[in-house]
Amino acid sequence: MKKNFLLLLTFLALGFGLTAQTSTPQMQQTAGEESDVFSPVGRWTLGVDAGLVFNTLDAGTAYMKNYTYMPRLSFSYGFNLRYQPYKWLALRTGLYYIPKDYVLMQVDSITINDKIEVFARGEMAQNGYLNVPFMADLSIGKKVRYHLFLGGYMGYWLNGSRSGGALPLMSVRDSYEYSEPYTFDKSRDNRFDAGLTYGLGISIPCSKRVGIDVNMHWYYGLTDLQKRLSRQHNPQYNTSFLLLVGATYTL
Amino acid sequence: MTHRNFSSARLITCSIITLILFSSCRKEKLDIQSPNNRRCSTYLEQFEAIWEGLDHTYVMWDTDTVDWDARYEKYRPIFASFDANGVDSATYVNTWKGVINGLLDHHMTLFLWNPSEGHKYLIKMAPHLPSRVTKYATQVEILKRQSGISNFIEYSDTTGKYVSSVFCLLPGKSTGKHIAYLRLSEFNMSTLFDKSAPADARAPFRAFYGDGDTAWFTGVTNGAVGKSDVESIIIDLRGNPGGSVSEISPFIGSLLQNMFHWGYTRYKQGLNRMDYTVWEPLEFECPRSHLKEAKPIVVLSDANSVSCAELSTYILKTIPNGTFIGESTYGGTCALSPNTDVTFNLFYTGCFGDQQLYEKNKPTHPEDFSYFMYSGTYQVVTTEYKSLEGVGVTPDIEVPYNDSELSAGVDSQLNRALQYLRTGK
Repeated sequence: MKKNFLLLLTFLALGFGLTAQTSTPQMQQTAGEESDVFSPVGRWTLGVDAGLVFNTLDAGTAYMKNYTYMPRLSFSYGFNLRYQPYKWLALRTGLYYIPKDYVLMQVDSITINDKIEVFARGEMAQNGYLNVPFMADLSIGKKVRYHLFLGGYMGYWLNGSRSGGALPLMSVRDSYEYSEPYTFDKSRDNRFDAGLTYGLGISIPCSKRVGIDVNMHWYYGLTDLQKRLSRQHNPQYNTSFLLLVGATYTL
Repeated sequence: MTHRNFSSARLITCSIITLILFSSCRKEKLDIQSPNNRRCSTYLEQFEAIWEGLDHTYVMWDTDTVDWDARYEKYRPIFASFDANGVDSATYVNTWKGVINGLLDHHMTLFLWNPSEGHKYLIKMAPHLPSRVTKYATQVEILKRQSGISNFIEYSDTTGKYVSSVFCLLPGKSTGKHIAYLRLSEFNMSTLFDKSAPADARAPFRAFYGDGDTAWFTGVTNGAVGKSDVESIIIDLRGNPGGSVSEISPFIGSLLQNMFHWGYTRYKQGLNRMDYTVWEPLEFECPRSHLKEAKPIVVLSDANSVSCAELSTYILKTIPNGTFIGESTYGGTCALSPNTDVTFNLFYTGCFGDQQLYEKNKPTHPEDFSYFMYSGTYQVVTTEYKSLEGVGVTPDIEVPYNDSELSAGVDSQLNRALQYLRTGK
């Protein structure tokens, strides 16, 4: 918890600390900057975006040689809000629903009575997160602007489900298939989510106030999905790559 | 360089450095050896291997209350001192008893090899089974003397290879009606259908279920239990230590009328203590030639009914036409397979270690501090997700085992079952 608090403080320092260095934005505008239609210095901009998310679970498998955690593609959406104190710098936040899904595959073979039997089992873990990024948005360019995002995020593990299929253990069915909501366990699951976020983007003006954004964001999780319950603990982290397309409106 | 450009360059540099610094905040992945083929050359290595193995493969961590980390802190220095100073057998065994003391898994048995002594130790912490073996033969003798008994068939195995069983018909509620009785010594009935098995070994099962096509697994064919003069059934699992889980389904499914959902199972999935698979339903399908008409069934079990015998008892107690008479069962309801090639090496859960030490009493490498941990592979719970591990199945009608009555020729548990089926009370 202490670490989470420190992370939060760092993000806030990265974001709002910068605004403290800034004097009244309008006062710093030059005549040249005022002529840019898509550089709304001193203004707020609202945006909505949606796109694909490609999530990977980073977890050790040690000697479990038939375990493979495979990434999974999902759909993410959200909105963002940014304030631009300088032409080259905006502070950006937002609220995003990001599925951080993955697939666990177990494929192996065993020899029973001189016959090779293939054993295969797969489970898709779907985990929905609400994430709030805090980013410094550094940009260059005249009309079309190129962005570099640096910052962090916090969030909450909102929901989950598990689906898959397996050979039945002691049942009479030929195979066992399931799809069910994930039951959170307070003692095991760490639903607080935080990490680093960085990315690249392009913004294209359509009119004086409206524009189109194409962004690539990486969400690099620093919070373990599980609480530490024993002296030997195998941490699990999400890493998500988002490709988002959206529209913006400058107030 | 203007002041603004200097600020932006500094900002970008600081931000990137901060990101790089934070990105190293992830903890390292757990890198451990498999406890299934780990070789140990010291007391301490043997302790570390077994402690670690149970730490991430033990299937009962969600309900077990033992502080396993505290056990590590307490016992690690003790095993290190054994390496430095040596240890006598009694201290060695007692120390290991202390390590696993109180763990919930009632199947758990630890096989240890001390190379300095060339001797296998077997440590079981769950309560010992009551010693009643000779009295079970007495129960069969008392059964034989029941008035009105007919068609008595007994196969008593002396080779240790096959299941012993008893079949008979007892007078039912009304004249001309019968109670079909079947007793079996363990759930390894498939051995009876080996080519090497004597034909009379199958006779009690044939009499109960019928000839079938090839085996009793076919269900109920021309056996007594399907005949109209048999109005009720007694399944006697007293003293039955369990066996193959796969045999529960045909054994009981043949007596049911519909597919029956009786519980859930799951196993470990991952290295952390609370990493589990989803719960998989446990169901029975009735064989093609199952019993078409539901007949009252009484199951007799006692404190020596373990594992499959307990699960069978629970199922027969749970079905609408079933009643459990006797005393609470042992409480070892996990399912397991000691064949680590088809369990641990696929699922990474349950029994682990040197299989040869378990099967042949000799380790693969006699110079090693070898071990084999015999423990549950699959957790089994009721349809209400209640674990019976360490609890057992409680009877509908409790009739405790009574040694002095048996010595006097009275089987009060059997008598209560007959009374219940004949009077409905």
